[in-house]
Amino acid sequence: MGEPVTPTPPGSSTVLGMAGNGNWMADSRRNSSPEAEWIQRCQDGDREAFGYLVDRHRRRVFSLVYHILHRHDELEDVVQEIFVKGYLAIRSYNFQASFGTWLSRIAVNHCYDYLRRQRASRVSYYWQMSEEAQQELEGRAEKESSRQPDAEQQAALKDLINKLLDRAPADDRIILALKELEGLSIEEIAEILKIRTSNVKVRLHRARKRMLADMERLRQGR
Amino acid sequence: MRCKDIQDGIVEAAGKQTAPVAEHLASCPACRAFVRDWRLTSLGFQALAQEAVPEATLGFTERVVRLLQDPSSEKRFGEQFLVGVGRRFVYAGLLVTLLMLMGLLLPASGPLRGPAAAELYIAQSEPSTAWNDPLFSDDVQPNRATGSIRLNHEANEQGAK
Repeated sequence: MGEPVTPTPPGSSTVLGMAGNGNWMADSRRNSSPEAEWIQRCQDGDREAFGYLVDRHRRRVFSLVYHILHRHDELEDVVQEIFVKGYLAIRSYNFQASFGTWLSRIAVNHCYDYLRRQRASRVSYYWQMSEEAQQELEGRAEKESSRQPDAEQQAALKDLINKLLDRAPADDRIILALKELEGLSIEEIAEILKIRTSNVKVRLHRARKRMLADMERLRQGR
Repeated sequence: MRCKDIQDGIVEAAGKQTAPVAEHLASCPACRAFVRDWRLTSLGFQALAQEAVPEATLGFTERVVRLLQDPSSEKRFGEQFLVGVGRRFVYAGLLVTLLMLMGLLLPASGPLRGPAAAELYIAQSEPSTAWNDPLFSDDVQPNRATGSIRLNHEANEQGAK
């Protein structure tokens, strides 16, 4: 649903959207001097130029926010707020990290604030499954079956994860979403969260263990 | 190997099992349950990651750019707050209007709105007579000269005598 709002960036034929899978953070420094030029124009107060950056990065920001918050109803409002924050802070962007990483940092911080404000729990489909259906799903997990779960089981699994993420502390939720749902590398997560890679590993390990412990608590109805 | 080490190792190795781990799992139901849960969550994350992310609606970029027209953050956030609050007021107003319309359009009687017991009670006049209140009926004959009253049937009885 791309509706280009800005003119072609200077000095290049523009390709709007993501640079490609996994390359979205690599970056305004390395391969897109036109993007750097647009950023500079924004820093000089050109609001229209920001439209180009919104077009270029919005898919990724949508994905990031969706995976962290998993709120369909407020997704667009939240992303809009993130871009506005990004514009207001763009003068502080110093081209050291990629613009994608910098924007992701804003997005993650915004999601963190959002999660702290609103902690809603939802009814879980997984826990409403019949005893037999749960046993079948667990049996499949025990046998490490190569067959993919069917649509119903996938829906149940998704709901299980959503339930667990809803209950998880904001830190765990964000780091798990970045790694497991966004598929970012440890280094990319470290850059976004501004922490060391060893810290990312430790946090991820703890978050996963806490999630599994919580799963056990949920199963026991606590 | 302790269960904690095994479980840490499973999380660390993303579920892959070495020979000693497999040996431990064969004899430890708690660790087997842990591995099962770990795989369940992995499958869940995979399923969730494959889910299509909602796209921006038409005109999203234009809306963002329009929001930037006023660079003053306080003013803009104030406006956003007002827009948010205003939306809630509109919803509340619509709800109140709907309730009022329902109140007006519902029939005055019927299964939903029959005459209430309280209304009936108010509508009826209540006779309030004490045991010694004078009853000016056909049986009562006031004597204006003496200021007393006399019952007709008593006068009749006396006359008969």
